Amino acid sequence: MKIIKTALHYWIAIVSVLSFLVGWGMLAHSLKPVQASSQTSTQNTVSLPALPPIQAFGGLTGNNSGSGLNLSVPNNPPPVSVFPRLRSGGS
Amino acid sequence: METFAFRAMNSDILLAALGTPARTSEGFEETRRFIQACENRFTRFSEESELSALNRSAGTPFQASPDLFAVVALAQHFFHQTRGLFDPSILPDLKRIGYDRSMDFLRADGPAPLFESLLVEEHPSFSEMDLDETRGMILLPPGMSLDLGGIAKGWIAEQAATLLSDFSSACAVNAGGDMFLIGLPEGETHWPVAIEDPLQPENDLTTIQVDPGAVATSAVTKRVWKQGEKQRHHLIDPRTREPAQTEWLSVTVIAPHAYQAEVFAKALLIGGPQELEELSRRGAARFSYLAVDHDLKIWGNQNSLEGLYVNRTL
Repeated sequence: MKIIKTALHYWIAIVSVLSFLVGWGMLAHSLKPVQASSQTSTQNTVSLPALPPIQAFGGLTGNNSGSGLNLSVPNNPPPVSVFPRLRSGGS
Repeated sequence: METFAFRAMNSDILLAALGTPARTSEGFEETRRFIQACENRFTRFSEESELSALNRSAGTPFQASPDLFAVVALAQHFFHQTRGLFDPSILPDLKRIGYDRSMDFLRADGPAPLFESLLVEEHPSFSEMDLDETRGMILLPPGMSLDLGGIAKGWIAEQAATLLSDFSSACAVNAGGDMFLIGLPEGETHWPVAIEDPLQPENDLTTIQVDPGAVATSAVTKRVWKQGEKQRHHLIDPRTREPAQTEWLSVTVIAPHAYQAEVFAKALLIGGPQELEELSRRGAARFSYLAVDHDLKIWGNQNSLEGLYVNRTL
């Protein structure tokens, strides 16, 4: 009788672990609710507005690229000052 | 111009002030104490902070200090103004993706196990929070917890600069890229501010010349980590409750107030070009902003072209 009980315990333990692993695998490969809501949200987005890139940055030409916007690029860089170097790059 | 640097709010803080060494030193010390007191109040990484106490109080009214109430009220205002693209109630999602301790510890210890990221729990909308202005009470609905990270940092930078200006004729407070500028350096007409290259932060992408006021940048490349095989960053898109997938790497906003710059930098970055028109209608058009895309091309709105003196440094 004791042997049967012990075997039953082992059997339940093994089946439990296997069931958990199978469930885990299914959950890991299933489509997550987040992805579903993400798809829904894109349906409500507005169309891409035309935002002109600041093309003058690339070649330092000072001319715009037909966007109708003027960007003044100095011929001489401003003099170097003694005040601290301030940088912004995301916090 | 005198400078003073230290670390607080998980960021490098730089104070700069124009004045006599004795006065500026006194101002730096006062400002440092103020910033550290604010950090102790607003951090979510300490159980002792007032913000953590507020989060624990969810479901019952909380008597807030004037400073905490002011920042939470600003957060509520901007939540509505950005149609929820700015949302401080995404704290459970930040924790789920592994950002459950300060970035310094996260990088040292590694993030939470991946299996936790599978469990997307429902939590109430930030619009359900109630504020009682007459009594300074905040009522978070059950299950809500807040991360005031960016907006608090912007608010602190501006308050700190105002304090420092009592000791100097011109000053700057730079809190990890969120900065507030008062007055002008001697003989100058603008403050030069370098914008970091989002892909190589040790380099500058460009330098802008700005008037006194606020500058803030949000970037998806700044606070990043791996959770299992997944690359994570700290800017949660409230619509998907996952790290934002965006066409821009960083957005810099120049605005009169630091909290405006911080909020709109985040909202524009998360919303991307698709939300630009709507966000412009809702306030962003009043400010100057620059966006850097994945090819490091810089995009700007009309104000940035007209009001900023931009100089390419690379």
